[in-house]
Amino acid sequence: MNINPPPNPPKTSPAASVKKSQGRGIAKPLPPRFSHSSRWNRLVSHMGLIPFGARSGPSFMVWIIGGMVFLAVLFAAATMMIAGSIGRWQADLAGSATVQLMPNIELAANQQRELIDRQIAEMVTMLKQTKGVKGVEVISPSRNKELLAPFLGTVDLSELPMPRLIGLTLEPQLIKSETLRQLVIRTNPLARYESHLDWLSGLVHLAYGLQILGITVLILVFAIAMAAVMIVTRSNLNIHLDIIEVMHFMGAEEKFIARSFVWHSLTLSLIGAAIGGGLACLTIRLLGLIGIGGGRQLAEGFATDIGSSLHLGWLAWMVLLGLMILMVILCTITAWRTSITAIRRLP
Amino acid sequence: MIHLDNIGMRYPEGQEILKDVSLHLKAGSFHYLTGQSGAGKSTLLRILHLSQVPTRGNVTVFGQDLQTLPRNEIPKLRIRIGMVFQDCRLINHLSVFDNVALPLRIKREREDEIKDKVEQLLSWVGLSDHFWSRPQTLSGGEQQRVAIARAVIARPDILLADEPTGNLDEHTARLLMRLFEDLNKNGVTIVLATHSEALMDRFVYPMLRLKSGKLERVIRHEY
Repeated sequence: MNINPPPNPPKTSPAASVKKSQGRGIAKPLPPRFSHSSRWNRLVSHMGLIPFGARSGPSFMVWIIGGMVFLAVLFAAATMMIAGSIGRWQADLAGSATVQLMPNIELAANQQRELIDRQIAEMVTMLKQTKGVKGVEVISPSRNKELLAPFLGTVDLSELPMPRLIGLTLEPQLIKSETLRQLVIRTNPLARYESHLDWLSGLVHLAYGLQILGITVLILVFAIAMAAVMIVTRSNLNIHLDIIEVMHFMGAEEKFIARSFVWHSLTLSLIGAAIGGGLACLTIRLLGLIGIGGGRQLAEGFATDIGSSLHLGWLAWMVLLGLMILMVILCTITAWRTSITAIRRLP
Repeated sequence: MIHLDNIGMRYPEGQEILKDVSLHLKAGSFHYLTGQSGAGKSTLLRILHLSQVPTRGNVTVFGQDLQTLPRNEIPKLRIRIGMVFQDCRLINHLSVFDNVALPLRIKREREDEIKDKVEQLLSWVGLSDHFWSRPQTLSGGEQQRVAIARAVIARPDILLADEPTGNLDEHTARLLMRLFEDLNKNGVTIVLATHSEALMDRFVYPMLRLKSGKLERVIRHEY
């Protein structure tokens, strides 16, 4: 076709005369959002095409996302705290062990002492010559008494057949626990070797279980949030189908129409993530403060661990922030996929 | 411009509404599309507008075969075809200005250019005073003029109009017909679905009549 149709109205138009009399000057000035061209203006003008606030409440999605982010951040924090505790316990205990030497109660007291001192000397000599044993400390009977005082009180222990203890500091990378156990038994078949990790292993397994549970809940929370976004987006698409059809029939590409829904979802999930994430962070901080206070009333040493468990390092806080951002990104992608799929169903 | 070659259209569990319809729309032509209610006028317009795919037959638009055309290419063709709906289908929460500007925003034109074009076009249809009015505050005739302005602002090659004067009084219908004539004089190919014998008698153009699913071409003596 050679001749192009208006936008410039034909001069012969009956309405053209009206235009001259009414004129462009009479028309009201354009509002600022359309007054000049910029990327931001285009962005803003695009966003107003679908009246989301008018017929669909945004609050539902904000609270759903907020709630899900709150749960996700709390579960992630708990999982990281558990992981941190496991790491600390293992680091503290992997490098230590105890050897117990039991006195022969059939002998007289002075004979018992002589025998056990000799056995201790033999064991210490063997241990000091073993590669991977960094430190050997014979626990004196008086120190033994101090350690047992919280459990047995200040009773006289001299008449009781108390085992003698040798504390070991190990380099776990140089010697295996089982190898050292064999060496100890070979030196003295009645001696008992106790790796501190052994009694911890049950607790570590429980902690690993809790960690897996935390990660599972985290995945579920994300899945629920994405399902909620999908439902809200579909509902919005149905509510505004008339407008979508008009844009579609005017030649709007799928991406153009979907962008409105994506912007809507992005805005709401950002607000939701900020509210939910903010409240979750506040809760973690409060729990940390309460944890330290309560921990001080517990036995010394254990309190330190409780207190430090409820504290997160800056890296953990970054992970929590990343989690909030991930939630927003996943919600936005879900809204995008849902809108594109629905728009593709239009004729 | 548009070739329909033996197309047929059947809705699920329904009779064939269009049977072996063949049509060649030449650039710059003006046709009425007429027929009884339920004859398939709207269906044929939707096929011409590429918003409905016929169940059989070939559609060629601007030299491109619709059957082999990738889906993402269709919006580019559809933007060259303006459509005026009987119920106007204006977006009520947008102003008259924003309704008319919509096709240009879809084409990602600059806002200052959009402003100039919309101002000119709204003046042309005689709605200079209604830039910021909401569509629901306008009369039926004014709403149709906004719909025409919206349909032609992106400079379509073809304008399809589905009963645009159906709910209007005779004076307003004549005013709209003059707008269509002006557009046609500027080279826009027009297909206008109507029942109105009075309108077709006053503004004489070739007629396409749908009868029992078949398309007949009626050449009027006066034309």
